[in-house]
Amino acid sequence: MKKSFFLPAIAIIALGILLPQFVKVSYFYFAGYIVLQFMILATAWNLLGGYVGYVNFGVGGFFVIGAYTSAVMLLFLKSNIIIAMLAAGILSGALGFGVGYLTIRLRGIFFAIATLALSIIIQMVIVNWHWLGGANGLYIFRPEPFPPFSDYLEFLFALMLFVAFLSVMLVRYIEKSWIGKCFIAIRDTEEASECMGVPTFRLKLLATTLSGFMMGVAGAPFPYYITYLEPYSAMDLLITVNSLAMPLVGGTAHWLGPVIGAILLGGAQQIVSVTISSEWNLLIIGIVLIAFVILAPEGIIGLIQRRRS
Amino acid sequence: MKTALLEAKSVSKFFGFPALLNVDIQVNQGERFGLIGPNGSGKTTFINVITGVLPTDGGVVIFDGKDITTLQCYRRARLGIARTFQIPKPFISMSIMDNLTIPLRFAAHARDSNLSIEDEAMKILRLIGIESKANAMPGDLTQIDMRKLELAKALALSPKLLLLDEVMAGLSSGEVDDLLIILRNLNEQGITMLMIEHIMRAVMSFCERIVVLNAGIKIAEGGPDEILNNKEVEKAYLGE
Repeated sequence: MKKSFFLPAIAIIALGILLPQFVKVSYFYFAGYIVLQFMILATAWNLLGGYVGYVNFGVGGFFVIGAYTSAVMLLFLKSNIIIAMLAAGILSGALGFGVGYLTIRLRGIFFAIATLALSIIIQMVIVNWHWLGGANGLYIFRPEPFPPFSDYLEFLFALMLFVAFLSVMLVRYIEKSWIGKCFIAIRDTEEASECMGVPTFRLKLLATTLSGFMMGVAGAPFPYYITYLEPYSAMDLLITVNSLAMPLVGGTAHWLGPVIGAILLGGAQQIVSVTISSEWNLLIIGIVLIAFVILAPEGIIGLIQRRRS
Repeated sequence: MKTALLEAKSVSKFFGFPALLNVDIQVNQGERFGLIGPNGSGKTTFINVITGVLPTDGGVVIFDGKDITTLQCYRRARLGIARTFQIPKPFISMSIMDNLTIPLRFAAHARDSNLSIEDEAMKILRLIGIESKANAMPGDLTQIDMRKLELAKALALSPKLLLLDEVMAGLSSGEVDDLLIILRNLNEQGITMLMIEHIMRAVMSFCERIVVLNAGIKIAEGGPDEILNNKEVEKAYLGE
């Protein structure tokens, strides 16, 4: 376990530092950051949606709480980005903990609707909260880059690369542990799991909290990335749809699923927005999603597994 | 002197109407107990209340000397209350073997520590007679094997009390006899059983004591012969 974690971890950090020395195209980091951000969000969504079977339609809400918490920390408390990320994760995780209580009574589509409603409430609160800039938003200036980075965006990319790595490793660890097995048991039949001694409620709380934490962390560097944070674009429908579409495309049953989905779908979106138009993004997700739901309901991982057996 | 393993004292459950009304049932240690009644009489609701799937709306449930009325479902499972579901509820995305490892890992309080979880699961599958399906998925099982899996999962909990909710529905006469032998052996090993069943031949030959429910009310209690000759019971099943 330890070796299989630390060696790749060092490799990922090295990659984040070395890449900017060779690839100087700033757009690469601009686009890559978004793909990595969605990789974290998709992985976090999959922890709850893929394993436990509770569909969160309010990803945007968790993300925006992360982004605003971090913006407040950076602007008003002059905090370090790492501390801002932790604070963002804790607040979003607390929201996730609260959402966990919803699972006592709400399942399936009703849970999904409740999370969607929650994210709309969060957006309304931010829009009307003047101290947070309200609908006008907040301006955040990036700090000066520090060596070995020649642009702060390169640092943000390296940071996201590492956080994405940590998120994927965490979910991979959970998937292979007893907790992951229990998550799947809950998804298959919650009632029978409980009758077999599985503490379903506690495990659901763990899943919603961890998933919320990861989404908050994913949102935390966003103010520095975008430099102008306002509630409508920070909580675009695209965020929720992407976080859900990527695991479905990649495969929800395996930790690699959201990673593959994020690279393929996120990469395609970035290419399309440059070559065709950014308006085509949503249409493309829509078509890809419908195609996968009909032709490969278990995603790319499912296709590969089926071919093997 | 018989000691009670399960005592339901004046247990009630309402779904807008009384599904169970002041039901008193005592199941003794090591007993083979039957619970019968027409459709909708509250048998499955009784199991749901005992296992904690549904909260009680009145009354007290005592198991092994402990008041478990408000205890969470999974804690009751860990105390040794196992159940089967009338409509089997397997973990559909796990192999048969993995289906058993969940209760073995989380609830089997009396698990043999000399055996690995996998070995213990194999032992149970062999006992129930579905060891050849260990690596199959639940979706590939026949209805009969699905019911056997349901029973195997309940046994994997190493229960003190086994609540059987129509495990024999849909089985052929020969299969019912086979299953009764398995259950009798388990009972001899000390597992107390509460059986809900519509196959009267099975209930009457297997159970030592029977309670009859009708519309949520206990209308009769006694040995198989007493129940068969009870006028109230006849009326409940056949009408006036």
